[in-house]
Amino acid sequence: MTRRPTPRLRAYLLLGAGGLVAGVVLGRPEPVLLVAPMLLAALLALLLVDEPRLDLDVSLVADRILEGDDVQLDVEVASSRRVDWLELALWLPPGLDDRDDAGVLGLRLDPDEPRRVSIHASARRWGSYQVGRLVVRVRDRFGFFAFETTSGPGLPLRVFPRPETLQRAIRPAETQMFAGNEVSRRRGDGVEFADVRQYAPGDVIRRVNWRLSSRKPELHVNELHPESSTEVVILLDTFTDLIGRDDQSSLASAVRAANGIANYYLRRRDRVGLIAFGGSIRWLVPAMGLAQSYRIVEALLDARAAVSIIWKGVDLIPPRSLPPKALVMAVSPLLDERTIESLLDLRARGFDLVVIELRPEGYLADPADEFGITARRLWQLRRAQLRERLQRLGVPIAPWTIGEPLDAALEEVRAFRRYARRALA
Amino acid sequence: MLIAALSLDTRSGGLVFVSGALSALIVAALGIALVFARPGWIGPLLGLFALLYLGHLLVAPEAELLRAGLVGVALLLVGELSQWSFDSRLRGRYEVGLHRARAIGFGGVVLLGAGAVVMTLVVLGLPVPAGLGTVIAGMAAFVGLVVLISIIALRPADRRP
Repeated sequence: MTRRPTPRLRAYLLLGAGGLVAGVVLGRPEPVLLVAPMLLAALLALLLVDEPRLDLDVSLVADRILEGDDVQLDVEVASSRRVDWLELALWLPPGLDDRDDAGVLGLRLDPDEPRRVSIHASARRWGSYQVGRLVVRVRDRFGFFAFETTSGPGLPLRVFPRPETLQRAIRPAETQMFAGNEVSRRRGDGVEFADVRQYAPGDVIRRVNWRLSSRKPELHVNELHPESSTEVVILLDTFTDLIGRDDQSSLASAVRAANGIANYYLRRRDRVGLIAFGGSIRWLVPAMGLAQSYRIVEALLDARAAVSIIWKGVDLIPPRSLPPKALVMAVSPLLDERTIESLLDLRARGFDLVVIELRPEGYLADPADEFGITARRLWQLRRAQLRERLQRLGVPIAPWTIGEPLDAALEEVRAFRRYARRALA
Repeated sequence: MLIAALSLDTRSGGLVFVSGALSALIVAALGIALVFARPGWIGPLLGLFALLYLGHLLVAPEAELLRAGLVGVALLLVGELSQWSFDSRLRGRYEVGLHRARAIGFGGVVLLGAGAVVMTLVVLGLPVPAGLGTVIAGMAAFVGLVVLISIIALRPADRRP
């Protein structure tokens, strides 16, 4: 513990010394009498000061929580001697807020009687944190000395992003060979009726459409759509992170969207992969199940917008993480040229691509003058041109603004897929 | 401001040195320090009060032993009450018992200060024979006091992370 005298003690000692000197210089006892109370108080404080011995134990009630939930820290503190004034201040990293706005906890400790206090914070933003670093300050009985120390490195806390709710899926253009929940466009064994065709040797008898065959000279059989699994790759653009009003972050929204999409498709027993495409590239090969869900969340927690000036393209992504026939869902504000070029490249390679565009307008301040308004309009025209270019290539774009449900934004994609002609299919 | 007014009441008669324009300025500065929570100002302001008193003392022909003691206790009171004022306004959740213990400590300090004044007055009332021996004893006591303060103040505190 670091011992630190308060300014009051220094003042008393200085005044005391000054009074003694003045008494000697003036040859009168009054200056000595004037400072005698302060001098005695300071002397007493110096004599009685004793370093406290504290036992601190900090524990987290839950070390894995969802964004927006409360974090509860239990602090147990004990001392073999009486502590008249103990202050505990919890250091919280950015992203966690002091829920009670208490700031400092002031306690009194009796000898060998441990005290247990709970400190609450709320997790405003997802991420990995180290919490539980306490600044401890003990004052002596008269408040002349402060003993300060900081508790250990903290406890790991993982705040998972609260996923965006998704009610309906985006149907991929093509499905995989494995059985799943998605009605495939292919024909084979399944339940959903696809078409009828003329009987061919090898066809199963129970597929014969007897009603049609009775009116035709040849036998006809039903064709069915098999139910297959899909592979979804979420491409998270981490080149850019826009910070808007009230510290709203585009990357935080993107992560919530990615988490929602991953959860939805994993619940359907589809295979989901993740590519965090930015200053550093991270990927997860598509897989299914609860384990993959945890892997994706852990990967999302580490998503950061790292500054990079190196040109990066699709070639850097391992082919295994981008399997053929996978539905690629890109979540991006479409601001970085590298992301835009990579999306175009993916489309050119025949990937079924969907772009969820985080509208940057929601994060920008309103233009201040006429010049700003004109510049904003030009910029918006360029963005509209980019959207049109992507759409002409058959890439549906779902513009998503802050606060809007993701499902509503994805409705644009469904409409596009329903009515637009795919250029490269 | 209230604390200052209570601690250094100019109507008490004995503390007339605080009724001047300069002391009014110091009182105002003390009020600002209390309102805007500036603990660092308290020491210099107490020093200024003490200087004012010394100035007053230079023009006072006769010895004012009791008055000096009272002023000393009043200055201590100002210092203690100011600190308590700052402590009571700390942002956070403080237990009520904390302030009770602090009040007891504060009362103890002030009582001890008053006791010191009484003791000094008693010592000053004792007949001390004039001569070299007395001067040497006085000097030794003074130096001893300074050495004691230095030793205690420089006592190393354990540092552990």
